[in-house]
Amino acid sequence: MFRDRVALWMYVVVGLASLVAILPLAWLFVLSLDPTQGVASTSTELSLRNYAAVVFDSFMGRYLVNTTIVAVLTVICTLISACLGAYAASRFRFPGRETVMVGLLIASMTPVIAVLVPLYAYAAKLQMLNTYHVRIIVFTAWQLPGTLWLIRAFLDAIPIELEEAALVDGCSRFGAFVKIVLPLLRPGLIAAGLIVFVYVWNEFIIAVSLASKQDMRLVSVGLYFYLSDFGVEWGKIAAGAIISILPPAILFFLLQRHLIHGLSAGAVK
Amino acid sequence: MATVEIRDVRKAFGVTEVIHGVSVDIQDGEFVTLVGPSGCGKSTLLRMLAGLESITSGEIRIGPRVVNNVPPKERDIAMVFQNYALYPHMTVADNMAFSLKLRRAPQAEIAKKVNRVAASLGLTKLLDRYPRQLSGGQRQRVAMGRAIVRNPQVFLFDEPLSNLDAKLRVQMRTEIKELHQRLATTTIYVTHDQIEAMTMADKIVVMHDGIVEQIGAPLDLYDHPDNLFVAGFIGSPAMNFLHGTIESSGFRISDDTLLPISSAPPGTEGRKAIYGVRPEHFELSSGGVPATVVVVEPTGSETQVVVRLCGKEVVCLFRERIAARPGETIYISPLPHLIHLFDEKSGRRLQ
Amino acid sequence: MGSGAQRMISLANPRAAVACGPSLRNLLAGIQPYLLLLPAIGFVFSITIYPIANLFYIAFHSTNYFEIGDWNGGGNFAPLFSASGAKSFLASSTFVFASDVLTLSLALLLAVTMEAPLRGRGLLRTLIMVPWLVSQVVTALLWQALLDANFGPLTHFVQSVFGWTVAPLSDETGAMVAMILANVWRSYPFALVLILAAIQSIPSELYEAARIDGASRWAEFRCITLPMIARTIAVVLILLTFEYFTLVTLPFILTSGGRMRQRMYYRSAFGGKHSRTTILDTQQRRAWLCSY
Repeated sequence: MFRDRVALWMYVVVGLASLVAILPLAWLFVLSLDPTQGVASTSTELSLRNYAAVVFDSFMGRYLVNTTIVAVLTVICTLISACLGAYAASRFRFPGRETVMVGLLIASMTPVIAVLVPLYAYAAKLQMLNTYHVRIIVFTAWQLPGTLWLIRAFLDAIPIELEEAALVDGCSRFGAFVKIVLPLLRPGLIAAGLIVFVYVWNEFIIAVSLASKQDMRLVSVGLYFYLSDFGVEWGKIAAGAIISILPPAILFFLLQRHLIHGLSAGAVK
Repeated sequence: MATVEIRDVRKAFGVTEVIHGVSVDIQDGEFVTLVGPSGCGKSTLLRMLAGLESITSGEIRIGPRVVNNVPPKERDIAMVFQNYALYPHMTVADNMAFSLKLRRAPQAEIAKKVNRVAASLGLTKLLDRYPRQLSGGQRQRVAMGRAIVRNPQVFLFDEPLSNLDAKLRVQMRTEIKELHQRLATTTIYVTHDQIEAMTMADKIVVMHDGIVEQIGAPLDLYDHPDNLFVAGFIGSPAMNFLHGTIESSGFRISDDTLLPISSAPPGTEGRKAIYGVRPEHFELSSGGVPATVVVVEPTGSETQVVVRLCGKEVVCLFRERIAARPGETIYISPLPHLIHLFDEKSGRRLQ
Repeated sequence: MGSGAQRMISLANPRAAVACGPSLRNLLAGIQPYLLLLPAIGFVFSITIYPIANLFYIAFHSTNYFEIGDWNGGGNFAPLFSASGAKSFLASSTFVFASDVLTLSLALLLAVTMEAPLRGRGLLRTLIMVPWLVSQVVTALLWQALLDANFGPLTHFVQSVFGWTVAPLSDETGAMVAMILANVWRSYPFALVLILAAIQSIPSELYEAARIDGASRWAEFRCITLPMIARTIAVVLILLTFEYFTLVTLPFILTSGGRMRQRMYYRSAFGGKHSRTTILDTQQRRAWLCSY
C-alpha cells in the first residue's frame, strides 16, 4: 500500500513536470495556427496560413539553410579538432598536459559578451563580417573545450591495448585510430555532435553581432528581427518559432538514446 | 628460421633505467618463458620484442634481421595480451581475420584460414559472436586464434592466463603447450607464475629488478639454482633458507644443531653461509634433528608440515601421512646430496 | 588509461614517467601531442584568450569608439560602482539566486522521482528534456506570449483564478518574475540530466542496507542520496550560476524585443562603445568572482 502510494505520487510529479515542459510549446503551436492578425485570439479558426507566410513570404527558408550550413560545418570542425586534441591528451603524457586541459576549460568559461566587442572589431577589420566562416570559427572555438573534455573521457575508456593489438596485426598508428578507435568512439561523437549542433542552432548573441545582413542571418537572429518586422503578429512569430525548433527536435529524438547514454557513461563519472 | 637474439638490451624511462643489459639467445622453435616477480621488467622486455616499446640501447634480432627500429607490423610476430585486447565491435571471425584483411588477402583464403584455426581451437560455433558474449576462456582462445591465423615467426604471450580461474588456467596451460608442439613456432611467454614457467617451457629466463638471474631448462634451474633468488623463486613450496656456518662435517646453525652436507666446498670452512633445502628433500629419520610441529596440512597425496627448527620456521613436504600433532616433536633430516649452499653476501651458490 | 601506463608506473619512478610518455608513445617524436593539440589551442586562443587579454588592456585606457587613448586607471570602472550600477548588480544577483534555487530544487526533485523505474519513463524523460532544445530566443518569445497582458494564457489563468489583473511585462517586478520563470523552464533539463546521472551511480547496496536498518524514504534521501551527490550538486550550481550571471539573450529579448522601454538588466545598458567595453569587463570579473 505504501509502495503504491509513493509510486502514484511519483507519476504525478513526473507527469506534471512533463506537462510543464511541453504545454507552453503546445500552446505556441496552437497559436501558430491562429490565422487572425493581431492580438485578439477569440476565434477558433485553425489554418496553416501563418506557416505559409513564414515559409514563402519571408526569408525563413534562407535562414534555415544558413543555419544548417554553419551548424554542420561547425560540428565537423569541432569534432575533428577535438578528436585530435583529445587523442593527444588521452594517449600521450607530456609536460603541460593538464595545464592545457584546465586552461581550455577556463577559457570556455568566459562570458560571450566579454569577447563580443573585440571579435566584432577583428571581424570588421578583416572584412569577415556577414560571412559563414567567421561564425564557424567562433562557434568552433567556443565549443572546443567542452567537446575536447567529453571526447577525452570517452577515449580514456577505450583501452590502449586495442590499439597495440592493431599495431601488431598490421595497422599504422593512424589506421588503428580509424579502424579500431573511431567505431568505439561513435556514441561519444554523436553526443558531442548533437550538443554542438543544438548550441549553434540556438545561439543568438554571437550570431546577431557578426552577421545581421538579411540573407546571412541565422534562424535565431531572423526570429528576433521578426518581432520588429512583423510587429505584433503573434501567429506568424509563433509559426516561425515552431519551425525553428523542428530540426534540433527531430535530431534530438532520433539520437537521444546516444546522448543520454553518452553523457552519463562518458563524462559524469 | 626464427631465432631471437637479445643482446645487452637496456631500457630507460626518462632517467630511470629499468632493464640493465639483458642478453638471451632463443633457438628456432623454442618455448621460452620470461618469469619473475611483478616489476622485474619481463613485460617491458616482451613489449620491446614486439616493438611497442623503444629500445634505449642494445640489439634485438628476429631471424637474421636487427629489428630495433622496425615497427610491430613488420616484425612478423603475433601477440596475445593479458586482457586479450579483442576488438569489441567486431565478431570473433572478424577479429581473427583482421590482420589478413589488412594484408589484402583474398576473401576465400581468409575464410579458409579462419575456419581452420577456429576448428582447431573449438571456436567454430562462436564465429559470429561478439567478444562481450564470450566467457574468459573463450576470449582467451579467440585471442590465440587471432595470433595463430597470422602464422608468424614468433609468438609473444603476455601473462595470458592471469585473468582465468585456477581450473581453467591448468586446462589452458596444457592447450598452449599442445599448440606449441603442433605448430613448432618460436614462443616467448611472460608469466609471474613459476609453475606455468616450469610446466610449459623449454627454457626459462628468470628476471629480477631488470636483470637476468639465470637462464636454463626448468629442471636445471630446479636442481642447480645459481643464486638465492632463483633458488627461492623456482619450486613450490619455496626452498627453506637457514643461516649458519660451514664446518668440515656439516652446517652449524646453532650450538647443538649440525645439518648434514655432502661435502664442504673448497676453501669455505668456517665461513658464514646460507643453507638451502627444499621442503620435499627432508626425510623422517630418528638420527635427524628435532623439530617442533607447528601446522600439519594434508593435501591427500602429500603432507605439508611447518616445523620450528632452532627457532626458525621450516616447511617440509612428505609423501607419507604424518601422525604428528602440533606441539609434538619429530626428527627430520635433509638429504645431503640435495642441499645447496649460498654465499651470505652475494647470494651466489657455493660449488 | 590502458594497463600499459600502469605497467610503466610500476616499473619506473613516477617523476620520470612524466618526462617520457609510456609504451607506444615512445615510438614517436615527442612533439606529436603538441601538434595534435595545435588546432584546438589555436582556435580557442585566438577567439577567447587573446580578446580577453585585449579587453583587460582596453578597460584601463580611455577610449573614443575604436581608438585607444591613454592610461585611465580605474576611470572606466567608475560608473559601475554608482547607484545605478549597484541597482543593476542587485537585480542580477536576485535573478541568479532565485533561478539557482528554483532550478536546483526542481531538478533535484525530478531526479529523485525519475530514478525509480516507472513505466513509460523513457518517453517522459525525453519530454522533460525538450526545453533544453529550445533556444533562448524562442524561450523569450514564448514566455512573452504566455505572459502577454491581453491574450497570454498565464495571465488569463491568474486573472480568472485569483482575480488579479496583472501585466507582468510592464513593470519591474513582473519582468523579473517572468525572466526567472522562463530561465528556470529553460535550464532545468541540463541540471536534471547531471543530477540524475549522479544519483544513478550510487550503488544500490547502500539503499538496501538502509532499508534493512529501518530508514524511511526521507531518511534515505537525506543520509544517502544527498551526501553522495553533494559534489555533483556543487558543480551544477557553479555551472548554472556562471551561466546565469553571463546570460544576455534571454533577458534582452524578453524585456525588449522592440516593445519594452523598461530595461532593468544592466547588461542591456549599452552606451557608447567605450562604456560597453568597461561594462563587459567588469561583469565578467564579477562572474568570475562569484564563481569562487
